[in-house]
Amino acid sequence: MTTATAPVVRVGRLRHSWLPAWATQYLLWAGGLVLIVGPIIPVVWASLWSTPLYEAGGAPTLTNYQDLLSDPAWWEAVRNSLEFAVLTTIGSVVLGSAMAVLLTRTDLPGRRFFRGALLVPVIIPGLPLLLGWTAMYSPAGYVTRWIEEHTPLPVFWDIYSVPGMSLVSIGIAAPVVYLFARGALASQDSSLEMAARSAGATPLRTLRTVTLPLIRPALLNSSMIVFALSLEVLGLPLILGTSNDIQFVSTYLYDNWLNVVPSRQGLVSAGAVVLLATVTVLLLVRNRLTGDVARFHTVGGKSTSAATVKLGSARWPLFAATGAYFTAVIVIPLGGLLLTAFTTTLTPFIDPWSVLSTTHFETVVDDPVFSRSITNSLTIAIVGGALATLAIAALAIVAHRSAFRHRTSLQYVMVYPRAMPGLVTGMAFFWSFVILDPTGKLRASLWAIGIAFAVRSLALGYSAFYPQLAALGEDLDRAARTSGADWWTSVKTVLFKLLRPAMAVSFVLMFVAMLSDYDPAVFLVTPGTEVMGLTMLKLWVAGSAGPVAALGVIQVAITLLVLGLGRLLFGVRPGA
Amino acid sequence: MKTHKGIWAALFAATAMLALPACGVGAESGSDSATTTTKAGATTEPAKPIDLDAAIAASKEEGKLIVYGNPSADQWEPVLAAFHEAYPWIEVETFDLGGAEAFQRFLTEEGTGTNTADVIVNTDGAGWLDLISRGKVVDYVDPELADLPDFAVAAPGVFAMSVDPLIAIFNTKAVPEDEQPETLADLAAMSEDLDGKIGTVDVENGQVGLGTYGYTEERDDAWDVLDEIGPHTKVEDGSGALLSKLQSGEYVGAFMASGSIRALIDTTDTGKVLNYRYLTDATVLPTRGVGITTAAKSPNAARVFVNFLLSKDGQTAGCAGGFTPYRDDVECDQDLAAIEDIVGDGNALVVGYPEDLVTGLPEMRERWDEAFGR
Repeated sequence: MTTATAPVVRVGRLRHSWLPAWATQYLLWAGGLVLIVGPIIPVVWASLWSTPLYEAGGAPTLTNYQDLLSDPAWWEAVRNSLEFAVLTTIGSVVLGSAMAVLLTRTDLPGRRFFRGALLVPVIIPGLPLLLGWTAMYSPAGYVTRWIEEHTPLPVFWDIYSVPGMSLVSIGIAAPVVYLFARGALASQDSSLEMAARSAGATPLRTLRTVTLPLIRPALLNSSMIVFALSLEVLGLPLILGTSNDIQFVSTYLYDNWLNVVPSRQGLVSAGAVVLLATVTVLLLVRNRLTGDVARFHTVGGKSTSAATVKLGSARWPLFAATGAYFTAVIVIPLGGLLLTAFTTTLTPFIDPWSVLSTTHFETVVDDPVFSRSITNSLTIAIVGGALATLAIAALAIVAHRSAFRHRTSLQYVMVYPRAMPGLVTGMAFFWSFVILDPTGKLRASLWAIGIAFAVRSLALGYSAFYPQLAALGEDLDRAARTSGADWWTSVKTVLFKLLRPAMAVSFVLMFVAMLSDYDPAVFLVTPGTEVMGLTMLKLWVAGSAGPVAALGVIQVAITLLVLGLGRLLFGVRPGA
Repeated sequence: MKTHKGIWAALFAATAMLALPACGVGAESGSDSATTTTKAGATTEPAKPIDLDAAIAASKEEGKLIVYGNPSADQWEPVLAAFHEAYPWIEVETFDLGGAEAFQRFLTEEGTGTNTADVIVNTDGAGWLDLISRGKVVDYVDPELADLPDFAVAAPGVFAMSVDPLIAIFNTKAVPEDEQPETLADLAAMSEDLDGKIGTVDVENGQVGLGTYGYTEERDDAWDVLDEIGPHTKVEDGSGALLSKLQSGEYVGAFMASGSIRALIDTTDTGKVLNYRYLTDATVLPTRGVGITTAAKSPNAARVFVNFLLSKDGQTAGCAGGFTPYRDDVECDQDLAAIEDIVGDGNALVVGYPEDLVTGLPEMRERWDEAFGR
């Protein structure tokens, strides 16, 4: 629905930026490198060094890689992780893009409601969401028991298996894919589809031959990011996979980092480097498959609003299918989460309605550390999320929309931090902060955790941003250049304004990710800078599911509030 | 993660020191091999208790005391309140950081010369021995040790703050109290019928690993029991998943669970469906060790703090925080004596950090993985 008439460059007031384009680009690039690549250096170093970083001495070595690659447990973990990542990627891309088409380009009944509801799994933090899923779908969960007792249907899922875990994961990843694809779909020029229609194509054929191919960058990009995230995910296999002895790459590295004395820092760092290499390959593949980005320019100087595809007789069956999916993946787990949060103890042996209480909320609010962690996380997510979104926008534009000679390097570094296990990232940031700021002031402040979280989540924000940037025709910024604007001015006046919806989505993802991130904080947290994700983890380790769920519910409420405010204040509507 | 023998062997060689098994598993006597290191400098004379009054006086000149510990903030609360009453000028900042993370973070901070912990409280015995072998733990004799059992010194410079038990937990709706086994051997005998419905925690967990090590060292039939129960048992990563599945009825019983769960069962509605018991043949109490780091910026305040934790007042306050005190002169419902009353004399197995742990623990883990089919 983009009508690209917004940027009116008023020639009379046109001002040049005080820095030449190459200087701005170098500054952005250098800043990005220091913050993003800086922390990768200690990891690469540790992987090639014979002793842990904190130990004096040592010598260069390849032993860490040899140890890693000759460990059968590593390969077993790689196999499980790959199976999980492939299943999750295929499932979430198919479901996510189908949802995007159904909910934005067709006359599906209730599409407005679905569009909002689909965001719910994205804003529930991982651990509480898992509690919701297990309360309902584990072998002793409410749904499983109900189906076994009241229906002849078989229980086909086992959430403690690799395919079962990917089912849970698809529920979380599909909405993310939806967000990426929706942006690309919404900005599509209907005249392309009209052309197909007037040449005699049916609506479905148009969808297949014009609409879907045009969102290929978005689909490839979301496949890549979902795949990379699936390789790194830790909480899911730790909570669901342990009882069946299923190791993922992430849990393998986690165990060698924490459960072996002395910690095998070199081996874990080698594993992290292998993950970085994998992500590099994924990015190369993405760029190769996307090919000439100009093919996907759908936003030109002139545009009309997108036309709606009439579903006809398929309308209600599709509505039923969508409704069933929403119930199974969103409503039921959310119910499980609410039950866990609002009952003193959730067990099938006691009627949940008889133990309803707000005890867990009181526990969380009354404890100074817990309530401080809420404020800290909120500060980090709002301030950090906003700054990071601006940084992503600037870096992505340099990476994809400039003549800067090192531009492609930026695409890679933005995704790298997410590919490393969180604990390793925390350690790496610790080292780079010690070097950058020997006084330790930075490390003792919330900024330290904020920067680490932001850099770690860059990949998510960038992935939301990139497809929409790819869809913007370059003639728009050229028009500004023709009118006399320099590079930075054209970026500011044209690209930033047209990319506001993309920035909104990017902010939401960054906000949510930073609100619930935890593992990099283990190394960086100091008394006073506790964050919610870490608090949840500590509570969970101690055995308390209730307060974890309560914190999760609080977090969802806060997120909804922030999204609502954003909508009121800035007209930013990520869900619509 | 099955074998890391090379590293272990190297570590063992590097840390070859005398182990003096006394009461309990590998607990060390407080007044033997220890040497004294005070602020005045290291001396090599045989163990003499430090001059507490001097430390108290010197502590007034020192800054904030930083503690990295595995107890949560609410467990610390009564202890810190009592400490504050006794020594109001020492400001203590406790930081909820347990397990290997605490040691790693300390080593990294120490390695980079940044501010770090004065005192560490941790139950990970292998981690402690590693830290000792790196020479990062101050070895000295606390005056309180004279009144304490031998196992109060878990390793050179590491003292027992508390000895917290591992327990069995049952779902009372599935296994009523009168049908519950009293020993792990009995539970093992029932395990075939309860296939897949028994849970435990992975021995990679520092506390559980240490406890299981003590159990296998002390009980001759330990491996027979574990071999019998292992194939029918599911293994969890920690208390969270274990407790959730016990509540949902997915597990009907669990063993070697952290004693800190007792508070949840005693004080919340969780007690309506779960109960806990001390199995008479497998009640192990891994030592929660406290030690002072060589990087301590407030070494005297640290000594005063550790002394308080070992004292009658400190242990009494610890009882209120849910810790398991072990002093004879402390009255506490859940202390060592109370547990011993339940399981019988000599059946409460306190596990310290013997030198053998360095090789023994990885061996035990490997053998355990075999028994549990992992």
